[in-house]
Amino acid sequence: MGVQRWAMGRSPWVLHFNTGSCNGCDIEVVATLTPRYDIERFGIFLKGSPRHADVLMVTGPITRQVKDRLIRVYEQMAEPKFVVAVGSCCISGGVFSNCGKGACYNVYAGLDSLLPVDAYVPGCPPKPEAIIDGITKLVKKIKEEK
Amino acid sequence: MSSSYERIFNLPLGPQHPALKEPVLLDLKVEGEHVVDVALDVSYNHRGMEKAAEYRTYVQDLYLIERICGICNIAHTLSFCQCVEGLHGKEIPERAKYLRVIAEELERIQSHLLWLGVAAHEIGFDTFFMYIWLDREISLDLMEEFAGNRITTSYNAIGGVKRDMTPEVANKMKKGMDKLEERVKFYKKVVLSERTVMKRTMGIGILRRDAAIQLNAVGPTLRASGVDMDARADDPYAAHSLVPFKVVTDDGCDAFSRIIVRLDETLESINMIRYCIEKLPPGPLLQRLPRRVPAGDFLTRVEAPRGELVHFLRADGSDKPYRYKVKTPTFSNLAPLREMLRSKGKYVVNVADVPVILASIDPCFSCTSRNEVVKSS
Amino acid sequence: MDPSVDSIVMEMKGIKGVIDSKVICERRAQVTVSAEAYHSVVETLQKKGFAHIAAMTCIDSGENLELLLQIGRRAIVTVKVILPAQTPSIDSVSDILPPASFHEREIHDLFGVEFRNCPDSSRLMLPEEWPKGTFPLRKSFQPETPAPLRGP
Repeated sequence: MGVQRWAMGRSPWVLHFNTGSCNGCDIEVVATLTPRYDIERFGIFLKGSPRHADVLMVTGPITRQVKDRLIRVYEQMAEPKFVVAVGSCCISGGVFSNCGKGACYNVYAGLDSLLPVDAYVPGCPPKPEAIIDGITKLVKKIKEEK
Repeated sequence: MSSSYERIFNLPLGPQHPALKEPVLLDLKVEGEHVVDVALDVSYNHRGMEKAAEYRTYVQDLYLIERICGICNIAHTLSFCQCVEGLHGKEIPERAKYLRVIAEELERIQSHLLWLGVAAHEIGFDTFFMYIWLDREISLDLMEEFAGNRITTSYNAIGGVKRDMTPEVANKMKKGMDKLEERVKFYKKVVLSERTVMKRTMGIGILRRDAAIQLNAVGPTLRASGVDMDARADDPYAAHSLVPFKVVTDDGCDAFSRIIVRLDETLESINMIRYCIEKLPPGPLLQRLPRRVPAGDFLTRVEAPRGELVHFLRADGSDKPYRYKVKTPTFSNLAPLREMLRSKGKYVVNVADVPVILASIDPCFSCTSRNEVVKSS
Repeated sequence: MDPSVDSIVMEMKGIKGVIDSKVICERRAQVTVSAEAYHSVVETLQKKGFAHIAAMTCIDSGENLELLLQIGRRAIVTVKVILPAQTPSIDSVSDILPPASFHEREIHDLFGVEFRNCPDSSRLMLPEEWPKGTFPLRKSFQPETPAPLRGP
């Protein structure tokens, strides 16, 4: 595990999965790739396949239909794996949560009711800077854990 | 279709797929390399918002409706506010109408540039994607100065708008528009001369004029098939009856024309914003309205970046909607999309072209499955 | 160019099965029809140039379901039908207006309206695990957050 973790702290590959988001967070995740923010300068790379990825970045409220697919994508990732929840909806359900006003019948109450989450990036949508900050903090945590 | 292949395979594309940013399942039926039919599953984004809207007050709903789609949130809040104002039977201040047009057109610029970048990515032209998204930041910076946030702005309020446009912001906006105009003209030149773009988009995703009308396509998808339908012209709202603009159409009927239509629309939007800043009348921003909305039905149409957006509100006299219905542009474009993805006679759809065709309608499934599930888009 | 709403409202008044026909405001009209006449009224409107579906809405008003078909490009005519909430069923208009099938599938999912002769009535919106016979947008349905799979 030690060597794996050491390697992980250098260049985590991220898989982005949209679980029913309004696209606000998705376009900000994509914006982190582009020249103004350029997440690749930290060695962070957005990947298309769960089997290549170390970090699962989830955006959006988790809908019933997408739940099984999300868990399957998570199970397909190789150990060690980490999960980042991006955006208020993903963290707690956001505007779609109950709050005593009648819930959205199709939305789970946050990602940590389904998967273990390592980092949370709040905001609606979070700025690209915040997303980069969230991932770099996760990398720092991975490095420091023995 | 005659082919040497005898077996038809099912090829699922999605819901998690490198070419798609949103969860959608395209169940393609392929015969060799050719797509013969497609079944669309858009249920991954269904959140149940139309139901949730019935449990929240109008002010709370404003923030819920905004989150139908992050890209076209101004179009959604604008429709919602128009529904409520329509039932009150009140006109909003003139200045707010112009500011709404500015916000809406700024969003259109941002959304069309975003789409052009994604389309460039789908055809494998990543350099172009990076260039466009770098310039898109200009429009986002202006949005932040003008409305207070980059993406989800909460700019429209029931009865008007929330922030005024100061002279400094107006100056910055004018400078930003000049810069954007120069860049968009450059992109148009690139698209018209670059072989990579033409080879991947010309003759791809054909939707004939009669089919587009019959299948009720909307927005740039319809206008690229040569039909001049635009809710801003057909059913003017906000200050659109006062702001001159041209409905852009193109007769190519393919993915390439959709690029050209969107680029020309971006240039139109830049001119509209300039005109609005010039003619911005003085006056208040907000007309205060009571919390309870009179009973009745109201239907409103707004031209969102992706096409005609319809909102319907039934109020029962309380402070919560009785029923709220949203029909989004991508929902209307599903039937045309299915048509584009079917090989017929000489028109063949290769599996490799599917992401380009899908991108060409600018899908926004978060809008579509709002419920509901937009983009919506 | 669509014909004006005034003339269409006047023409609709004479047709069999039309209960009410009125102009609501500029560019908006409403025609209330009986369930039997729905298909033929939509066909008449389609021949007059109202071939663009703006939206199809269903409203649960307690004992009845109201089905509103909003069609038109510049002017929008709402065709309103009232259906019993217990056994709502009506003819599909997807043979006249092909894209109606998507709208009908959505309403079938969320309200349980049966569309006769609809070419495809499979699920469009709801998740596959959703129980049959539960229609979330009916007023009797109480929304609840799904139970979490694991503790915090």
